[in-house]
Amino acid sequence: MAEYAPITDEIRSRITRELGDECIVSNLDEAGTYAQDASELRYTPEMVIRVEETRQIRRLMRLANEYRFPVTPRGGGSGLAGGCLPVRGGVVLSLENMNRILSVHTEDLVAEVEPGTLTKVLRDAAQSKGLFFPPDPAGMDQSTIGGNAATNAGGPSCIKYGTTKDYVLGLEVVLPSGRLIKTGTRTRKGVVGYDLTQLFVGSEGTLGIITGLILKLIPFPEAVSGTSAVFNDLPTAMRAVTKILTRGHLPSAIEFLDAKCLSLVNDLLPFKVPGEKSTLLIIELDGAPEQIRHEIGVIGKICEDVGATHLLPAPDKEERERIWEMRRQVSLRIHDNSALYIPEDVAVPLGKIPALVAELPNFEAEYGLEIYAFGHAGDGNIHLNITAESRDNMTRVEKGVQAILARVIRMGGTISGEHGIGEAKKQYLSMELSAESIRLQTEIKNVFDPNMVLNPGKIFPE
Amino acid sequence: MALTDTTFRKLQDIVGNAYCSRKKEDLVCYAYDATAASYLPDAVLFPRNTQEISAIINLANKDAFSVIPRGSGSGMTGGSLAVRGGVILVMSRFNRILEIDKDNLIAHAEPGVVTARFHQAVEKEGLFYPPDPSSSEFSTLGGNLAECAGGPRAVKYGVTRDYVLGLEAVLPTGEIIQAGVRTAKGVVGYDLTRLLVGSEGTLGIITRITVRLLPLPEAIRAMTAVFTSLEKAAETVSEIIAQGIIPRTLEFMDNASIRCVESHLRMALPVEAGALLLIEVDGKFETVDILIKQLETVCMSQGAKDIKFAETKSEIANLWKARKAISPALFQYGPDKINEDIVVPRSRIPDMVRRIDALKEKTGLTMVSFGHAGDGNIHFNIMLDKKNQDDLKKAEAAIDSLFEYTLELGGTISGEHGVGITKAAYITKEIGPAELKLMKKIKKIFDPNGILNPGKIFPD
Repeated sequence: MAEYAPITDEIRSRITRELGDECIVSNLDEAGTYAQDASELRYTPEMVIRVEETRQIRRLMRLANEYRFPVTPRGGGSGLAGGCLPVRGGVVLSLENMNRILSVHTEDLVAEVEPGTLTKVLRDAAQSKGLFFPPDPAGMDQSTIGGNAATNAGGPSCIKYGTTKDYVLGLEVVLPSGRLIKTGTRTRKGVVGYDLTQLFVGSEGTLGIITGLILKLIPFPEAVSGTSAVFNDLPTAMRAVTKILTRGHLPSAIEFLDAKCLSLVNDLLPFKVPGEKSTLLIIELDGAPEQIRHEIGVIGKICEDVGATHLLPAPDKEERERIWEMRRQVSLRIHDNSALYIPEDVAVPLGKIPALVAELPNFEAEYGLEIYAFGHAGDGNIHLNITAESRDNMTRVEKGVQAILARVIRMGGTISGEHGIGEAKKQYLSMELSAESIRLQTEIKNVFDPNMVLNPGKIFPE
Repeated sequence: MALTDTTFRKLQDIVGNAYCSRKKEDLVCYAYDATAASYLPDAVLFPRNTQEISAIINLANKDAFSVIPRGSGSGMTGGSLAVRGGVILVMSRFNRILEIDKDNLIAHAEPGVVTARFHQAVEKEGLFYPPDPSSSEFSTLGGNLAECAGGPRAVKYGVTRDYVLGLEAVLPTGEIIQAGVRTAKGVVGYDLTRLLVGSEGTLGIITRITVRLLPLPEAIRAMTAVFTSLEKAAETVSEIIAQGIIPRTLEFMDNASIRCVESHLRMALPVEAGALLLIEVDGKFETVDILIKQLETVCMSQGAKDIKFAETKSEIANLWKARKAISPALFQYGPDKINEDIVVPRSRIPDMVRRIDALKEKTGLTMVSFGHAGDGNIHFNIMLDKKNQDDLKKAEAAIDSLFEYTLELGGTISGEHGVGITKAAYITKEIGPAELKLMKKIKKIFDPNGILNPGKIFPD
């Protein structure tokens, strides 16, 4: 394990001198907010810097190599795996002030943005020009584009539109050495040299600091419609999902909530949850108005044929907002109601969702857990919200988590669909990746960051 | 270094005598690709499985010979050629489609499967694999991955990398790795999948592929429209996109391509036209007819003439006939072809067209442009006799200035063909020294002894 220098007065004054004192977050309360993200982890930074310019980042990285202190880049701090936390101490580098949208180009369908731009702000800016940036992570009012790219964030629209990586054409990156590089192109196609762009995307801020992004946009869909459907159990709901997809429909979202989740939001539901295993599907469709009006009817019919007990059409925006608000409330209430909350984010082949969810009660009983499952039924990404009534028996809880992840891998799945590994999951990395693959990846890390000063301690267990 | 008899015998032991040859007549068959270059390998191998490949690689590291993986040799930049001798690894026995998983919208296949056969197999199940390089009748999935192949449908559906979920590869160190996932999403560790895709067979030998599939679109409609100038056609392309229509394909042919095909096939093409656009839309039955009407209106407002529509499969194939005939028909203009694959931001196509016209005027050479207007990907060809030194010099200078202009416009010098050997000399025009250094270091990690596909991508 690499040894790091503490941030001494000398280092502090060098940083202040070379980067300017405006960027130093000196208020302790304020600096304290950078010790956390949306996970339960907490690591206090020795120093917090909020930069305005790429130049400052380059200088900071040169100092980091000179003195050997860690630098941990941070966007909106909405990550769920501790990726932006300074686990080895050192400087937290916040990019939230580098938040300009430099251009939204209608003809080329391209946007150029700084990394601190909030996801929602970019989506709105694109929409105001009739364009669409599809990735829609749940935390998009708080998350930044730089953070989304670093973690390859997904969201409900992934089923139709893919994840962040599918929209990143090119990057400007400060390497751990302080050198500035450019990767990728402004065009849709480009095959010159190795795909460094996609290597940075999803590398969780361990290979470089993204300082600029060239993003792909698409025309904004003319219209959206939706419907929700209640089923007696999850296997029936998943039969409907499969049937919808194999009949040639490609909804822009298919989300599911299991009975446990529904029981948390009884007061917000326009119907009484009919049975103990009831499952809700939330389906959205976008496209040309004539087409989706017809198609949403066809999808509703498929749900009924398969056995939906209630159908709640949501052609209007307000109705859809209400459903999504209910979905958000599920997350919040799980979090608020439990002493211990571990957000797992597995993905399994679609056909395996019912089997996995059916097995959850066994894990609950064996390891003293309460598991709320919801997620993206259309792409197999299930958010397993694992909770326990107390934090007393962490070993047992961790064993339970490990047993569930092992099951997921045996089903052909992955231990993280969209949250990343960061700090929270690194102990499980070798369950999914072979020794050869990990060796290769740590060697790549070593090429980019020989002194291990950038976001150390993440992804790879030491 | 030449392959010794001892090493060759060891190779025979690995793959079996029947699947190993160094007879001249066999070597010649694997010395070429779709470029004009030709390099004779020392031996040709036809391995049967991943373990055999791993054993070959281990031997290569021990006995110091190079290994060059090869799909079907339809590459345009020499990526599969044995430029430093060595052993060609022909992947043709890896030709099974392992599973088409309808419920999960994914498929598993071996790399030697021919792209068109894969298209047919998934379409039979009501599914769709969009990447469609022009050579799909003979190119292989493995080759497509290695080059990150594109094709006409990229304007709507993206390129090969957008469909690869995971893969198995033999590393140049002999280790076998599984990269990526079998699910639609996955963010565990660095994206080795996308690092291998487009690495032109220099980082690993792909032995198994998992791709995602889409539901097959219900209906396709196609049309062609004739314009007085290529600029007018390029403006029309911009207007189509500005209206929020993303066609399934949006191809263009310039006047020289139209004349070329016409003199070859005699299919009554408008030889006086400045340009021709070929446009396809797909989707639900209700939408395609509306879209094609909108496209007609846009084209008419831009002064298009002679608009033709196609609905059935054979009508659509007929419209494509001219576009597909260009490449082979070109050689009537000269025995040699310099073929480039530039991409510019869509809005800059008219600028590029003007520049090409100016170059044509200045050099007096025969230049033909066609390609994927929808994503700014122009296949630019100079036809000449390379024995004419004067013409060759002029052509090389023209290419240089074209590449510089491409990069000035924010474009790239290779959209879908790769770098291989034919573009290696130009890579530093696009990739800076720091970026290039990183790439070379990555290569070094994967392939410390430099045995896998040496002499490609990076200039020596």
